[in-house]
Amino acid sequence: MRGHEQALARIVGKDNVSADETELFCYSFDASIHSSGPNVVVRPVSAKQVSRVVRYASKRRIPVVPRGAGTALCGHSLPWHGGIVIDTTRMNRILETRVEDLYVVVGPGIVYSELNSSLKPLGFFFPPEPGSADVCTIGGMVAVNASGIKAVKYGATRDYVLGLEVVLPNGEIVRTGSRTVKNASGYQLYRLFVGSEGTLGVITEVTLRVAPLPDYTATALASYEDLEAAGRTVTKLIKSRLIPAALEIMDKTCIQAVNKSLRLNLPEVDGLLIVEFDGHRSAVEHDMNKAEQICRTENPTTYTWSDDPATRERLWAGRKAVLPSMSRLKGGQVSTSLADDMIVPISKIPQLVRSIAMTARKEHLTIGTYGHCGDGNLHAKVLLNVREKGAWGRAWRACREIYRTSIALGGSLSGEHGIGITRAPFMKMEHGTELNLMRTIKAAIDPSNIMNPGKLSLNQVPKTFVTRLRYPVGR
Amino acid sequence: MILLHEFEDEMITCTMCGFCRQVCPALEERGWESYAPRGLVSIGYGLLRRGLHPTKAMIDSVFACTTCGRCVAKCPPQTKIRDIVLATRAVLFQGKSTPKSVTKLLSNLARTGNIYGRTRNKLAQKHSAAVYFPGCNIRYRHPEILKSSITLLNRVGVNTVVMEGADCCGAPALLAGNLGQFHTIARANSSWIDTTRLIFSCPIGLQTMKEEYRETKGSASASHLTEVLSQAIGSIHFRETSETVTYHDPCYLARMLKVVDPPRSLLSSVPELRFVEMADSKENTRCCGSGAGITEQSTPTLSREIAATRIKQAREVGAERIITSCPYCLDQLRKVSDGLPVDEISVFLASRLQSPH
Repeated sequence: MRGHEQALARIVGKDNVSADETELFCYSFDASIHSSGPNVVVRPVSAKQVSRVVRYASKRRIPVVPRGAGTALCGHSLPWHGGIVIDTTRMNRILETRVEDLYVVVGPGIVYSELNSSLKPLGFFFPPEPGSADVCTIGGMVAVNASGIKAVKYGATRDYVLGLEVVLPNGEIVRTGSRTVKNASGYQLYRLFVGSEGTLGVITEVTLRVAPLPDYTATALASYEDLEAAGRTVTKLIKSRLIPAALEIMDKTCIQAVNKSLRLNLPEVDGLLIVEFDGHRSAVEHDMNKAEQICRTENPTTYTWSDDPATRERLWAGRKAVLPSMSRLKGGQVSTSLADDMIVPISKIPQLVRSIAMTARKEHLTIGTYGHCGDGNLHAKVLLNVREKGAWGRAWRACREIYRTSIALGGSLSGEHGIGITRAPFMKMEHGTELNLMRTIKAAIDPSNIMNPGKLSLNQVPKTFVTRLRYPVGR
Repeated sequence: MILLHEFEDEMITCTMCGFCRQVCPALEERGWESYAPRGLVSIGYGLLRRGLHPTKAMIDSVFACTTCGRCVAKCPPQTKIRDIVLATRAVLFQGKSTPKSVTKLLSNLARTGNIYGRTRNKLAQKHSAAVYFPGCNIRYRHPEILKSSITLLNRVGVNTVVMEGADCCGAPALLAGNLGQFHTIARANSSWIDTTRLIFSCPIGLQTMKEEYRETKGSASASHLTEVLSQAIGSIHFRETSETVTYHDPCYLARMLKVVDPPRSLLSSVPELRFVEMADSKENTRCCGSGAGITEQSTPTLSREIAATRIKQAREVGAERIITSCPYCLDQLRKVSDGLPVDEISVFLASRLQSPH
């Protein structure tokens, strides 16, 4: 790799390329259960540099894997077949802000919350706030079509992407889409790159639609002794023509986890709902009253609401910390992202919740369930003794069952985290012959298969997600 | 004990969520994953379990960590990242991979009892009164802090003698990974500290004696100077000082020991002084980059870049002067302050004392 390192240094500068063993090891992790490292990492600063790096790789058929903050939960940013990791975090500039035209143009490496901090004084924001909002990059969000708590009202990243600049697998730089809020000019190719997980090219610039910041926000907390009562409340709220800005559910395991980690003192009940409305104050108060009446029909043990920013911020910090906090719940058990992002039609949430609980009992597993019930998206975090080989077998069977149920209910493997490696074994189950179409598109754009190979089940289909685990299994 | 294998479960429990990336001053300047707190966890795990060997990137990033602890505060499951870094440094020390600029401090310490290699006669003392422990930095580089601190303590009626029997708290050895040297110093100091009321200006010494000495953990009666002075705030009076001042919280004092109000109370008691708060203050303070002198030695350029960001934050709120209460922060901020005055709190306050009536 020494030769590659020197050649790449001529493109990005010697301080922005590394083949140091320690550095490569650190790039062999993201927030997934897997570990797989590159041969060299580059940190370019422009599309031109990215293009030259990709052209270099293309000529030699070296795999190229784009990486933002490395917060992906399913191994998207891990180089499964080695090669070059392109770390985009230096491409973090805001290139143009035009709120009067409802768009902003950014480099892929800008962090979500930093973009919103710069839009805030102008009264605008980019809404699809993921749990990792303070660290994840916009490029990564586009690559997996990320979203979060606000999707029920504001939608996902794909709903805001107006245009992209992408370096194709042959090194060519293409621009797709426009700086307009709509266009009807041929294939909507920029949308093809949304959710492509780096398998079609490297995103080097993003034009995003922005939305006006709401004037007023209020958040309610309703606790239920029965998780299904919470689920029924969700269906009633949606049916009543209310559109909350966020509608979240947490089960007892998750509540206990964040209470333990962050001392939040949330009521430790079977099901907790967080309901948020935003907009003009009078409209929010009207919606909040209506929501309270609906929530009370299922006999909550407690119901409170607040418009105090500090209280709300604390609550949301707790909600965003569920994932990592779960690892502290039971000594020796680690929170793993395995079946963590199923999405079903909203009214099927109670059925999915019931099914997850049954599966957990059957396989003797602790599974914490939480998520964006307002849009049908559930996260189920499996707590595992990661050293125990048998635990992984039980987790595999449980997740396969949960995915089967989700798909049978009319849902999908992933609402917002993407597929990567962990969920690749299930792609055929959801997509059937559609997967062949995806493979045809991949082969047309990347015939040498250098862009993030091994992901999305496009070339090889891994038999199981219990592969290249980062944990000391059996030790 | 801070042996790496004792943290194996901590390293496995880390979900690599990356939330720590938001607050790390070294990562902010360098950008490489090895500088991220979760990267440091990976390095510890790699050394322990995955056959990783020390490399240039490893030594750079492990010693670039300023041990400021902000990542630990940000981490939802509070993974003991700082402890993992110290344990990793111990492994590097055993493998003779510690940067030379850092080992120089330790050889000075072994030879003379202080990191600067200065010699003096150390006197045995009876510690009946309160004892002011200056530590190497204040004794040899900032005697003005020692002098001002004693002046202020006398003014509030605390009968204090200066520690003459020992120079070093042991922190440099602990932070550089020489655990043997650290425990030798800690044992020697522990023989007298649990029966003595100690007062520190240096937050590093205070935190080390309070939290890192296993012999006296929790039993040491030790306070920061600002805590002692703020309890007697009615008995000291300062001259009018028409100036806009901000306060830089040292990580070891604010985040680790939760001492945030006493220095602010003292500054507020100076008539006409306008106090402005910087972003990232109190327990959420942003590091000056010194790393208790270690990062400053191992990666001086990075260390100065981190300090420059703090200076920028002080200018953003219109501060005409920065006050801090740590000799390491003081030196560090002064290096890059570009004309913005930086003072240690006791020196600032003592120079504005009104004559006693």
